[in-house]
Amino acid sequence: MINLVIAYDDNDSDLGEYFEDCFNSTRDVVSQLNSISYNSLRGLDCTEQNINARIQPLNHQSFIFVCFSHGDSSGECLLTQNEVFVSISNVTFFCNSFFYTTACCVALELGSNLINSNCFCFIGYNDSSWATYEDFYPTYIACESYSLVEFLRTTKTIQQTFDEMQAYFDEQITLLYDQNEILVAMELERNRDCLVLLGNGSLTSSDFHV
Amino acid sequence: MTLVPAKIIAISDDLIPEIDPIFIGLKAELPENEIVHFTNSNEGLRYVLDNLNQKMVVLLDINFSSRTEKSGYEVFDDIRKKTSLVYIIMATVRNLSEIPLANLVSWINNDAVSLENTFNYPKIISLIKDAIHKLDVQVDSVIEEWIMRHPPSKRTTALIKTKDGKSYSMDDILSAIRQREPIGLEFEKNLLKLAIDIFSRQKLSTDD
Repeated sequence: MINLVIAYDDNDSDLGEYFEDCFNSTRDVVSQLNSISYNSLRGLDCTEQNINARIQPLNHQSFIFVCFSHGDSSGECLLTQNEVFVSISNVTFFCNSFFYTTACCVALELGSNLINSNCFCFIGYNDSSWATYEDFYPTYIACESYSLVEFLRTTKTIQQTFDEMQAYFDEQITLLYDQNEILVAMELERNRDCLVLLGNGSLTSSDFHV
Repeated sequence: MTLVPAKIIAISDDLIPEIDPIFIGLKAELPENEIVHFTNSNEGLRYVLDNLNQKMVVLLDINFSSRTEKSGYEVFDDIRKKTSLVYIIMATVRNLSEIPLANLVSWINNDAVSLENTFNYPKIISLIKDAIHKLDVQVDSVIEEWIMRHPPSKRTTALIKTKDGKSYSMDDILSAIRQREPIGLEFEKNLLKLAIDIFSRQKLSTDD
């Protein structure tokens, strides 16, 4: 059994719908996999206290934490419009985790803080990433979630799925270009280039079975 | 595909009348409705700064006889504070050695400027045509050409969102690039990267 926690800020005034679609897409995949036990926190529940309470029973063994929310521009934290819920103050709660987030900038500071606090592996953006308009939500979500979904569904290493994610971005960028959606392709390419993997990329999903 | 024409903005002292061979020659060789002539430098500067979303070549006289008007040096500096995408041709009958060194340095260090010190009409026309070509091959012109292929309704529709909630339409993007806003520079860099990336990948697939 793999323990998975997903936090998503469906309450955000600008991108709540996008974050919720990200969650729904991941949930649809996860719900078809018998080996995964997942629970989720919606935006209004994303407080440091709630997150800590949800993580603490899991972190004596390996687990996966996924977050679809904003990050602050300094890269130090994950936050909702109301409060910071992951930062240096609770970073140690994520020891033994694979931490996957599509929030802006958090690879700049929070990512390395997590790795220094015995988080196994981190995937996230090292700069401001772009969202898109509704027509292209599915493309963006499929790209941003690719590594996570492949990791959960297969026996590939995190590094393999990360490399395949880059190739998948390339495919989608070419498709958008072929459809004359140049600007959408441009922003997707920027997102591709801002995604980084920190920590141990050699782990597979079997390393997270508890 | 026809490129969007560049406006030619002549800002010259009213001692050079509109019937000067330069302006007659300009109107004979370039679309007349794309040529705008100001004999007051302040008004010319205002027009340029109010229309930075257009491609422009500015033919700028250095000396203005009225003390209430900005000199050509000042007009140049004021334009460059806002954008480097307007092409400026400084025109003067003065000897180069009479131009203050600081101004020469400023012109050299700021892109897209030519200096013509004769007011020779064929030479100036040639410089303007060269400037138009340079503008046409700049990234913003290529983007404009692509944007203008879309219907107005699509051009004004927000299609890029930042994760902090700002939205940009095609027209917003073009304007931001033209006005050298930080987000415009970011778009420009990303579009160039995309073009190179697509080009290199297509070449690789052709080679395969």
